[in-house]
Parts: sequence; structure tokens; C-alpha cells
Amino acid sequence: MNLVVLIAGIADPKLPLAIAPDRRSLEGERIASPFDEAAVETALRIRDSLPSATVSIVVAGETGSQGLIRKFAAFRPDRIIRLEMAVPCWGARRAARHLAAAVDGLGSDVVLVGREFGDADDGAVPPALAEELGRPYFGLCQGVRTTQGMVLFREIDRFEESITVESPIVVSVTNDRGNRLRHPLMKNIMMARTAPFEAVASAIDRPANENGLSIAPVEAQRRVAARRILSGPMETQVTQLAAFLREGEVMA
Amino acid sequence: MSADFQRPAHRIIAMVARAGIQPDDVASVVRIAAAVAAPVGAPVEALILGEPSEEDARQAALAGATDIWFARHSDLTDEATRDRLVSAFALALSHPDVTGEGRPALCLFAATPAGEEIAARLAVRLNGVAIGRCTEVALAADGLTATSAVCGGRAQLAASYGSVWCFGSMRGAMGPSPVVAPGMPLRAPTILQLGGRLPESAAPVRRTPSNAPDTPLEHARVVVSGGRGIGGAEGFALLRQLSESLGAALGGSLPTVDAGWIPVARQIGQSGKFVAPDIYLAVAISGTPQHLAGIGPNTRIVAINSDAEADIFRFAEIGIVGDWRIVLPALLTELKRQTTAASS
Repeated sequence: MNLVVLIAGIADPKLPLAIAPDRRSLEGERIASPFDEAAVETALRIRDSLPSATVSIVVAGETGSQGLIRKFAAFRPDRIIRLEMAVPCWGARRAARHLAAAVDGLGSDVVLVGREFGDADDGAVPPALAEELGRPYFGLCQGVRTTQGMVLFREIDRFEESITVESPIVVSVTNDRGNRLRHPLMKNIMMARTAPFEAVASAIDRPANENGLSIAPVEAQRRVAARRILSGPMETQVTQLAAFLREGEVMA
Repeated sequence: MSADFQRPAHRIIAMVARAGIQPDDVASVVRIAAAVAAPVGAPVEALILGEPSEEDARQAALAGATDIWFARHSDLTDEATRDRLVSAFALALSHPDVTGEGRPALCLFAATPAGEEIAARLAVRLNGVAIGRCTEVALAADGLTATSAVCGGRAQLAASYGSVWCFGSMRGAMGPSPVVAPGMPLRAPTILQLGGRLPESAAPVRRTPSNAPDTPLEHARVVVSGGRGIGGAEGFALLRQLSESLGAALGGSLPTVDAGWIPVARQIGQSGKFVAPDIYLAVAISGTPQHLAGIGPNTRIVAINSDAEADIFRFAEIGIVGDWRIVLPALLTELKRQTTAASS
């Protein structure tokens, strides 16, 4: 079984956001998102249980991806590949076309990708990728069970949904306690610093800015009706809070 | 000057799936579409998958739809999978009665994981544009501009498109439906009978009841939510008691899910559920943009946090600066006392 994990990384939330002068791209090294890590861990677990399985990690981005490559190389994938496409790649269909072309060249059975690919704060890329590839899609996968075949599962409200993987598929992976990324061995971290990786040019041309894309920073804004920090003895504060929760008003 | 002079390039269609295990709330989806249409005075259509229903039609009309389509098919049951919903929407949008004069549409779906998946898949299947989860869509005579939050809500991306079919979702406030203005034209719903079989996935999904007993988040009046500061599963047990005491739903931030204190189905935030209760009680939550992105803009936030400088207090209507270990037990006791006093 050939597993391909697609990684984009995100802008480091601990650092100020560095928007490039063209106002369409971001500068700086990207780091792994919780969803990237969950996708890699899921692939590694499958490989653990299926000795014949191979894991190829594809890190998207011409620049800003070096740290991601070194990070994930430490988990000893069978292949680690830098896909030379612009990241962020705004537009789910455009990103999906890039990724589909790359996947087509790799011979994959299961494509795993974090539920959000890159810095777009939504989950549009993975299902769009499944459609581009003409494959079934299983979104928001929380884990894998391998005791009776390979079963992917997720929880939706009061149901558990699962599928047995028997044909090519695209899977998006969400964070869950059960798929937290393991710690790599120190020797593998050292090895990853100089491990070779493949660089593959995207087969899709980079288009001109036909959609007039632009990024601008924002301050979080919310309508605030009133801001009142309760004061006085804690007993009084708790009494007022309880009344508010029951009645929707704070008594003076 | 003719009435078409400022007509937007796009029709606006609220896409409502009433089949499947998580049927959409009709009014919520239509209301979002109506909010997009309002600045340009455009009519709103509602395409509802599922059996025709007077109540659904009424909800759609009250929320602002002037043209209502019901697309029915024998495979659109309560058990219909997303693959079938995608196929049904694709068939319905290709129906000559719907395509009409050939004008492209902005198709807006529920801002749920299912809605976002269906929107993205349809964009590819019907050769349109996936505009993703938007915070705003502005319609114009030559196209539209979709604005989305990116980079964890720290930036916004604006992208403009011409006359092409666009598929996406928007999160918005829940609340009472707007009253239908007198004189607003309301046509009788049109029934589309979709033909053929809706293809099932090559990877069939099995569904079994899980052990999740908690009140669903989506329609709760009150949500009690815990953050990283809760520190462990024991703290969440206390939050659960509080949520039960209030008849509330229980949620948590992304770090609490990663730590295993609460299931991912209870995660609230940019990458989790979007909730719009009347009251959101945030306990030991710092108030990052990523978390706040999961809370409706009109929700009244109540915060309990030991850090007086926590960002959450900037957005809370009322707050208590204090240790939840002290506040919550006292709050539980006081709620019980007030409830008993009120009923005696």
C-alpha cells in the first residue's frame, strides 16, 4: 500500500504575520499545523501495521518549507519530496490541481492531508482534491484501526462513521488525542538535517493574478454590548453570575 | 435606466440539504444568502434537497427566499451519504428548470463540515469556483468578491471572480427569522423530480451509534466551554456538571481536544464547530482569534479566567477574574440555590 501525505504548513502563529509586498503571499518559514501532524501520524501508524506499506511525504512550497522537510524527514518516510508550487496557494481548486498532478505521478493508494491545507481557514482543498482525482473522500478522519483490515473512523454527532480502505481514496485528517504525532528518535533528527530530498516541479502552470487576490491583516473584531468585570467578594460575584446565566441579566 | 442595469452577475441560491443524518436548518442557510443579496436587492432562491415540506417552504420564505425548489429523489433518505447529496445537488443544478437563462449562481451552503465538503466537491464537478468559507461576499454587475479569514483569522483574503458559478459557505448569526415584508412576491415551491440512481461511493461508509450523550452544540441556548487552563479531564468533569445544571451543551478549545480532555466533535473554533448560542461561558479560555472564530458575533460571552489580562475579557459581556477551581463549585452551589428558591 502506498501512502502519500500532503503537507503545506502554516504561518507560525507565534510570530507576526509577514505579508509579502505583493499582498498575495506570505514570507517566512512555515511550521506544521496540528492537522499536518495528525496526517503524518496516521500514515506512520498504518505503516507500522502493514510492513509492506510505504509513506511518501510531499511538502508543498518552493520557499519556507525547509523546516518542514527536515522535521518530517526525521520520521523516516520512504520518500520525502518538495513540490515546487506557490504556498499559500489561494483557491481550493487551484491547489487541488497542483496536488492532483503531483499525486498522479506518485502512484498512491491512500492520500492523506490535514483537514485544512495551509493557511486557508477552511476545509475545501481535500474534498476538491478527491474530486480532481475522481476518488472517494473520507473527511475529518480521527484515526485508523488495523486489527481487521484498515478501517478509518470519525465521530459525527452521536454516530461513529467508518470505512474499510480497499481502493484508492483521499482522506482528510483532523486533530484527535489518538493521532498526536510521535516523537522522532534523536538519531533520526540528526540524520534529517542532511537527508536528501527530491524536488519536483508542479505540472500546473502558475497563473497570473486573474482573481485580484489580496491579503490584508485584520484585528479581531466582535460586537461587544458591554464589558463588565464583576467585583466585590467572590460570593457576590458568583451570585451575580448565576443570576445572569439563569436570567440573562446582571443585577446591580 | 432599466432594472437590469445594476443586476448582479450572479443569482443567489441557498443550498439546503434536508436529507442525510445532519439535515441543515433551512432558515439559517437562507438567511445567510439573504444577507448577501440584501445590499444589491437581489432575489434569493432556495434549493432544498429532500421531500417537499410546507414547513420547510415556510421557513425558507420567512428567511427571505422568493423562489423555492424542492429536489426529490428516492435515494435522498435520512441515511443519505454525502456522496449522494453531492450527486443530487449536481443533478438539481443541471436541471433545465434551474439553469434557466444560463446565468451563473452563487451557491451558498451551511457553514458545517458537510456543507463545506459538498460545496468544494460541486465546484470541481460542475467546473465552478470553490470560494471556501467566506466572511463576506459582495455582488456586482461584473462578478463578485469573496472575502475569507486566513492565517488563523489574522488576515483576510479578498478574491474577485467574474461570471462563473461559485460555491462556498458563510457563518452567520442564528436567531429569529426575519419577518416577510408585506408585498414580497412568494411563488409556490417548484418540485424537481431527480431521475436515475444516485451513485454510491466506491468506499461505502458504515454508521453506528456512538456513546456521545451530550447535548448537541449546534442549537444549544447556552454553551459551557473549557480551555487549556482547565488542566485536565477532572476539570472537564466539573464543567460537565455545570453544563447539565444549566441545560447547556459542553464544548472545548482545540488544545483541550489535543490533550484528550474532550472529543473532537466538541471542539469549538475556526477548525471546529461554529456555535451561536445566546450565552457562551468560556472557562479558562484565553480568547485567541482562532477560538473566537467559532462563536457567533451576537452571542453574549461570559468569561472566567484567572488572568485579568486575558484577551477573552475584551470580548466578554461580563467576566470573573478568578480560579475556576474556586468559582465553579461555588457557581454550581449558587445555581442550585437560586433554582430551588425560584421554584418554591
